[in-house]
Amino acid sequence: MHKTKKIGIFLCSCGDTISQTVNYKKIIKHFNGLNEISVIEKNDFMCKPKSLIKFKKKIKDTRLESVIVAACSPQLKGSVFRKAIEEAGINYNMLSLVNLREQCAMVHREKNYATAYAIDLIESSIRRIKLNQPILSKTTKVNQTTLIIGGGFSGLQTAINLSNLGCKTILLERETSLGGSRNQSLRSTDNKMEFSLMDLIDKNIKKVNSNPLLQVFTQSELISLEGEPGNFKAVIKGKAKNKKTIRKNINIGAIVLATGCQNFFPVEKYGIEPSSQVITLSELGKLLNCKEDLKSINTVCFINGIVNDDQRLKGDKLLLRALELINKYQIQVYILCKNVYVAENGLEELYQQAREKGIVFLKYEDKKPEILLGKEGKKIKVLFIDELLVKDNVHYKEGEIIIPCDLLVLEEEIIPASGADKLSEMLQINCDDEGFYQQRNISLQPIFTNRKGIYTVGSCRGLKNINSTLDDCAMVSLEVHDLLKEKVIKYNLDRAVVDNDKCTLCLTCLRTCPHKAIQLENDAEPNQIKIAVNPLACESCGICVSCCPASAISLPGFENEQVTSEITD
Amino acid sequence: MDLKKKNDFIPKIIVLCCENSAYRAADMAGTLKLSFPESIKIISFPCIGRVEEIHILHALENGADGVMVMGCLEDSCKFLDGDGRTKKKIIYLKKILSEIGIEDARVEFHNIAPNMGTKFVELVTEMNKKIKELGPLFKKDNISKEESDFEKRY
Repeated sequence: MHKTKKIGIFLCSCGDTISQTVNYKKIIKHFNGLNEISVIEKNDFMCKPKSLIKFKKKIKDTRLESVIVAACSPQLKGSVFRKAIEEAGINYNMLSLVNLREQCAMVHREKNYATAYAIDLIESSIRRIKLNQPILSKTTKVNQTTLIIGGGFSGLQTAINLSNLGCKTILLERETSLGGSRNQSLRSTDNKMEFSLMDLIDKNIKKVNSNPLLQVFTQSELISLEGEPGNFKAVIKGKAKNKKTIRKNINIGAIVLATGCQNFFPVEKYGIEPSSQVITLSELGKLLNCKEDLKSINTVCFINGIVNDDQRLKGDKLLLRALELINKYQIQVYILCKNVYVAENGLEELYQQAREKGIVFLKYEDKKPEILLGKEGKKIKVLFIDELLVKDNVHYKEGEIIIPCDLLVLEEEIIPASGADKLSEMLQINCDDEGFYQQRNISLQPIFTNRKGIYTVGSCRGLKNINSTLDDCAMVSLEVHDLLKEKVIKYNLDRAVVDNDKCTLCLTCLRTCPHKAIQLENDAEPNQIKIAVNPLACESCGICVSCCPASAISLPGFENEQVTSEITD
Repeated sequence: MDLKKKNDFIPKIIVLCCENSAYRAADMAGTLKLSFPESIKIISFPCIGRVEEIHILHALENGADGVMVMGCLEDSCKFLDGDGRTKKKIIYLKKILSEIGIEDARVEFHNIAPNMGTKFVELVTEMNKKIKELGPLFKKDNISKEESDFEKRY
C-alpha cells in the first residue's frame, strides 16, 4: 500500500463562473471529514499574483505533500500553478489540476448534477495523485556547433542567421563551390526579382567566407551519424588539396538539412524522342545567353501543365523568359496551358504585361496536346483542341488547331536533390511519396523532422519561393538557437523508462518509436545488448509503452496503475 | 454518490482523449456553452497512442457502459501516427468484444481536431443515445444470478 500523503484541495470560484453552478459548500462538506485531506479551501481568482502568494504560503505553512487545484482547464493556467508549486517547494508532478470550469460548470447546467459531477472528478483526482511520484530533472552538456548540409541559397542564409545569433556553424557542400542552384539555373537578367536573388547569394557567399564563426567544407559529404540531440557524433568525408579523401570526426549539436531540389525532364511523359528543337525551361535560360542561336527562330511555343498541376511557383520564370524572347528578339510566343496560375507575388502583373506585349495564351482541356516532330530543321507542329470551337461536344475535329513553331519549350518536374534518399535513410528521417523530407506537422511544425535536433529548410521539402524560404531560414535558426543557446540542457525525467529485466529484446519499441529515441546499446557485461531510451530524443508520447508485449516500458505519470485508477470508480 | 435514479438509465461513458486535440475540443465546447450529456468522464493522455486495449476493458469491467477514444485528425498527430495505431487497436478490440458477446458499438474511435467543439458534443450525444438504446452493460440482477449459479456449482 502507498503511504497516505497530506493532500490539500484548493477550489477556485473564478469570479462566480464556477461557483454559480457548482455548490462549493457541499463539496467542502463532502471532503472535510476525510483524514487524508488536510486542507480544503475556496478562493477567488487563484491565478492572480496576490492569491498565488497566499497559495504558496498556505502550502509551506501546512507542509502539504500533494496539491489538487480545481479551477479552469490545465491547458490555460496549468503552467502558472505548476510554477507556483515549484516555488513552494513541491515537485510539479505532485500537482493535479481538475477541470471544473470548461468541462463541468460550463457544460452541466443543473446545479445538483454539476456538484455531484465535480465531486466525482475530484475523487478520481485524489485516487490518482496518491500514485504520483516526484519527477526529477537532469542536465547534460551539449555541443553548441550546428551542421548545415547544403550550401545553396537556404543553407547560406541559415548559416548567416545562426552566426548573427552567435552560434558556431559548419557548412557542408558536396560541389566545389558554394551557391547551389545559382551556378546552374539562374542567369543575369535585367529583371529585378532574379537579379536581387543572385545579388543576395553573392553577398551571402562573401559573408560566409569571411565569418570566423563559420567553417566551410566543400566537396565533402556526411557519412554517418550517431548520438542524441545536443551530442551528435558525425563523420564527414572530404577531399584534401592533393585530391586524397579524408575522413573527419566532428561533434555537433544539431543538423539543418538544406539539400534543395532539382529539375528533371521526363521525356517519356510527353511521348516524344529527344530532339534539338525541343528544350526545357532551364535550357532556354542558357540559350538566351548566346544571341546567335536565336537568329533563325521566329516562333516559340511553351507547353505547360502536363507534368505538374500546380504551376504557381514556376510561373514567374516562364513568363519572364517569354517576355525576354518577345522584347529582345521580337519572337512570336505561344503559351499552351490548362490554367494560368497567378496566385503569387508579382505574377498578375507579369501576366498583364505578357498579354499587352502580344504573347498568345491558349487553353487546352482534358486531351493533351500532341507534338508532331518533323525532320531536323523543319518546323514542329503542336496539335491541340480548343474546346470553345467545338460546338456540340461531338465534332472535335472542328476545334483542332495546329501551331507550327521553330522551338518547343517544355516544363520540367521538380524532384528532390540526388542523394537525398540516401541521406534520409542514414539519418532515419521520414520522406513523403515524392521523396521530399516530410515535415512533422504540415502547418504547426513545418521545419521539424521526426527526429529531434534535425531540421529541414527550404526546397528540400518541396519547391518554395524566395520569401517563404527566407521565413523558413529565420524559423530554423531561432529553433536551433533555442536548443543550443546554453552549454547545458535541462530536461525533466518524465521520459519512457525500460525495465531491462522484463525486456525480451523483441525490438517492437525500436520499430514503433516515431522519434527514433530507442536504441540498442552494448551493456557493460560482455556479449550483452540492451534497449535504452534516449532521454533527450524522447518526447514522452507513450506509444512504445502501449506497444510493448512484455510491458517492460513505463512512462512516469502515465503508468497503467495511474490510468486505471482514474478510469475506475 | 447516487447519480442513477430508479428506472431511469443514465449511461456512463468514458472518453479517452488526446490532450493535444480532443481534450481541447472538449474545453472549447465548454467555452461555447454547449452542454454535454450526463455522466461522461474525460481522461487525457499525452498522445492517444498511449491507450492500450486493457484500459478500455478495465473501464467496461468497472461500470462504464461505453468507451470513446478520440485522437487527432489523420496525418496531424504530433507523434506522427498515434491515431492510426490506436485505430487498429480498437478494430482488434471490437473483434474480441463481439466474440465474448458484448456489442462492439460500445467502443468507438473518432478523429477530432482541437477546434471542433461542436463536433465533440455531437459525437458524445450520439454515443449517449446509442448506449441508452443498448441498455446497461451489466444488469445487476444478471450478475447476481450468475454469481449465485457459480457459487452453487462449486
